[in-house]
Amino acid sequence: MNKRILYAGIGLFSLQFAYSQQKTDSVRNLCLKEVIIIGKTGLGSKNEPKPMSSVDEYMEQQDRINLIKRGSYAWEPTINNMASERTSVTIDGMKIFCACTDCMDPVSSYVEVINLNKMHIASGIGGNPYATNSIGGSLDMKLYKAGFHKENVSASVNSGYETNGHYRILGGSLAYSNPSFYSNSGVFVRKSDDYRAGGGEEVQFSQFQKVNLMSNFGLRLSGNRAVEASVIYDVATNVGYPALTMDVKSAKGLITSLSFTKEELSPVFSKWETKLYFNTITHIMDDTKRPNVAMHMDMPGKSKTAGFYSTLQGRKTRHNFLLNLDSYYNQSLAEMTMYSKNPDEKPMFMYTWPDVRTLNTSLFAEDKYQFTARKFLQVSARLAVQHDRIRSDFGLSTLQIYYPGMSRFQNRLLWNVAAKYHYYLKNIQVKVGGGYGLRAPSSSEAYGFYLFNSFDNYDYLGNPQLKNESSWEGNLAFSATLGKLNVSLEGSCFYLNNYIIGKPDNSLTHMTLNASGVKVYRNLDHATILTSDLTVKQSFADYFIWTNKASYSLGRDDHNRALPLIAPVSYSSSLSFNRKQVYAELKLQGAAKQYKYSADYGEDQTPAYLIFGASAGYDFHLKTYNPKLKVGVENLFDRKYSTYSDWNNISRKGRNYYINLIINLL
Amino acid sequence: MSLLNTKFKYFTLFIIVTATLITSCSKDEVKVVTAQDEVSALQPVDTITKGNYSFYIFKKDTGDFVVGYNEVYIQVKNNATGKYVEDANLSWKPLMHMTSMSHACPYSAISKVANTNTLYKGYFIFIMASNSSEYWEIAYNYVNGNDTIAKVSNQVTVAASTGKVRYKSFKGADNISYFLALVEPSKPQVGTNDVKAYLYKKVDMLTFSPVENYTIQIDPRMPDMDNHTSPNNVNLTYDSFTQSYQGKVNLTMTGYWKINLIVQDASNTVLKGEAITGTTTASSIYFELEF
Repeated sequence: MNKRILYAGIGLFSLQFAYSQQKTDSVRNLCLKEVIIIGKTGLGSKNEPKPMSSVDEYMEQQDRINLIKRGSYAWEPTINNMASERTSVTIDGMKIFCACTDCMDPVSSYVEVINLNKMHIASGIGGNPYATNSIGGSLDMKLYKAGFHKENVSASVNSGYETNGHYRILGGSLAYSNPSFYSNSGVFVRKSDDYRAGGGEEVQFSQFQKVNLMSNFGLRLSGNRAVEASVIYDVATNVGYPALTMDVKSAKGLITSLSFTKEELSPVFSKWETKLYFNTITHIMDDTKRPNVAMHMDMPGKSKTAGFYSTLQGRKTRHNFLLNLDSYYNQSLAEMTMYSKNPDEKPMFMYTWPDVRTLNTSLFAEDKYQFTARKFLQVSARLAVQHDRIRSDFGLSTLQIYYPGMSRFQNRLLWNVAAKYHYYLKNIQVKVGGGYGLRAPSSSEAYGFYLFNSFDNYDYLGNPQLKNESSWEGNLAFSATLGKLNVSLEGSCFYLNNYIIGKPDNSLTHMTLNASGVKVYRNLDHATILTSDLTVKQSFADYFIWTNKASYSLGRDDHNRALPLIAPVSYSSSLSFNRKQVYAELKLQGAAKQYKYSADYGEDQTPAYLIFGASAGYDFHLKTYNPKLKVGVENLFDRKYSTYSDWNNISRKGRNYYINLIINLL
Repeated sequence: MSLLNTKFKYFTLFIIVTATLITSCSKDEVKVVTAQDEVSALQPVDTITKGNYSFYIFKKDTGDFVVGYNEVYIQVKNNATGKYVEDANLSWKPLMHMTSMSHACPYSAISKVANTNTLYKGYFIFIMASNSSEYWEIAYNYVNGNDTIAKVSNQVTVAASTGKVRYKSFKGADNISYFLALVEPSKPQVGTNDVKAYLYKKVDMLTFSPVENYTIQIDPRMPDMDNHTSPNNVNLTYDSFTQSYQGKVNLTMTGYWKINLIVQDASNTVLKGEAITGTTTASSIYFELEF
């Protein structure tokens, strides 16, 4: 918490934020839950050991976030041990949906660190006006915008190199601001060869490269109005997925938005922002580089989303409220063409996502009622209507084989409510909250057609007859500061009804060669998920901070069997030194043996591991530029290990030395 | 307001009159369907003229007849009047002239094609191919009561089927020879397809009769995809009206499908075919579809 407050104090660029800080001052700071600062302010800050980390690596450092890894690129974030179906990942409030049926391209893979200013993480229901269909938590990645300031031009070159995988990173950004106009643009390139696991073994097909281009513009008009536009174009090519049987030829994302903001509308309404957005994602798989491919396949997928939101913020007496009207229209289409070894036979074609069109419109309201300066209650509610349509007759016909008479259309009413009480004593902070919410099944869960999951070796069939999944949530956070010691404990508990998960259906035969069978998504009567984190932080001798973290999670189905992809006990300890321009850190990180693995859901036991790392940084103060240099080593003792969320137990990186250099030119 | 009402009435009347005119016009157009129009989508196979009558033989596709199911279309023209016969009572008989013997094959009666004036159709299930010394001959007969009006015959070439298997002959466990031909799906699609097949048995060399009330179990498989199959298929059962076997097959994707078959008699005794198991990957009788 301290760190977060510190970050918030460093000074944030976004108007909205600077504004709200002024208004509500300390309370606002305290109610910032999880904010990862990435953009200009955070980039290269003294406390950041590896500023050129990928977005994935930034996310990985957060308490509630774990990442499912299928290679060294495009990790899928889970919040509270819940993956994409149960969480929401948005970019500046914009809905974006991956174009790969296997989620090899999570939304976070289409942005880069230079695109972002911060990430807003909300655990569980509530806390994010832009999160739809989310019960596990949400992640809103805020774009970095130069903002309206006194005239200023800045440019920087960011570079990095890592020995393991010969990983090269180069980026540049240019920003211009004045009180009525701003523009910032950047380009970022990453390229890595295959990395080596601990012990030196090369992990084949773990290479990747990506190029990211971004541009933002803002124009301030009279009467406290502003127009802002942003474009991100992100292309990853030749991305290896060592945990899977095929790679990705290209993953392209074009993310655009145009927003209108009016501030100080009246004494009550402080800000009204309306944004229109459109994004298109194309994902093309590739098995041509693999040896011994049993059957060559083409698997392109695309996802297009158009939408808008309109957010009104205000305050009256002790109320601090926010209303958001939100609507999006998504097209998800994925196809598969399989080529027989017999060249005389015609190719086998099917839709794995039958051109699913989703129209979701929701209304969200939140109020923070302040009892006193140290006590406030935050309540929120959302009501959403979701209309699904299967556009492809071909796709509908195939699903109707399994669900005779199934309709092309589907309507779902979704809602959630959440409340959290915040109480701050002098040295103690307590937050108690709860909520209830529903989510609709994802496209794959409702309409996916023979999606092969290499994790449990089953083909998955969607089920349009699924009920909405619901979740009761309770959460508690406690933090105490005793002198230079800070102890914080956070926990969330979810009781999910109609929990959606794939169950084997022995009446169906698989399609993928050598698959174990077919699983159909079903509603379990209930499931329970619990997550908890303990952080103990001790400052001493002026310049040292010793941080210890441990987390414990539990997931159970309705027969008290373990759920898959639930983190084992994990821990970390770091000792950092920070004095003037010098920064240094020693860190150890590990996990216990995964005792509660889920054999029933195709999981195997992951052994314990412990790895060590060290890093150091120095901020030079030269006349014109202020280069920041960071060096470090990860997995110092070259341990061969994998974590519970490494798909098919692929090994993580072995020893890796890195260097990051940031030069501010202007 | 009343002016508006009056206008509205006139407008309605105008619409009705126009609509009536348009419909009557289009009805007139429908009536002028010529005999040529009725066969415009068909391919001519042969024309046989004898006396005052010409027999025009058509089928849906080009090329020779093949072993298995063949749909045949016929028009008969009275050359004296120049008109096509609209109420002909037609029959036919196929005969294979082998070097040592002759035999017939399963075939249907000839019936008028619905919604046409001059077109007739029927089918043959040829059970062997012709060659240079052995040939199929088809005799057509046009009768009126007991009077034969015209009788013609011609030789046809029947080629061995080279494409996907849509016809099987087999000897059942009851020692009877059976002939099974697939009619539908002629154009398979992804999803649920209606299946229609004919099952005949040999009574003697010249007599083949439709088999009634058997069951033909179907098990569609994709050998290329680890013998993937689809659920909710409907086995073929006898339909006395069409004298055919009908059911439904579900195809989950395009490509090559093997429809494995088990033929059971009316008391559910298996006459031919094997169930697919881990070790038995195909039945000894099957149809093939590819699209």
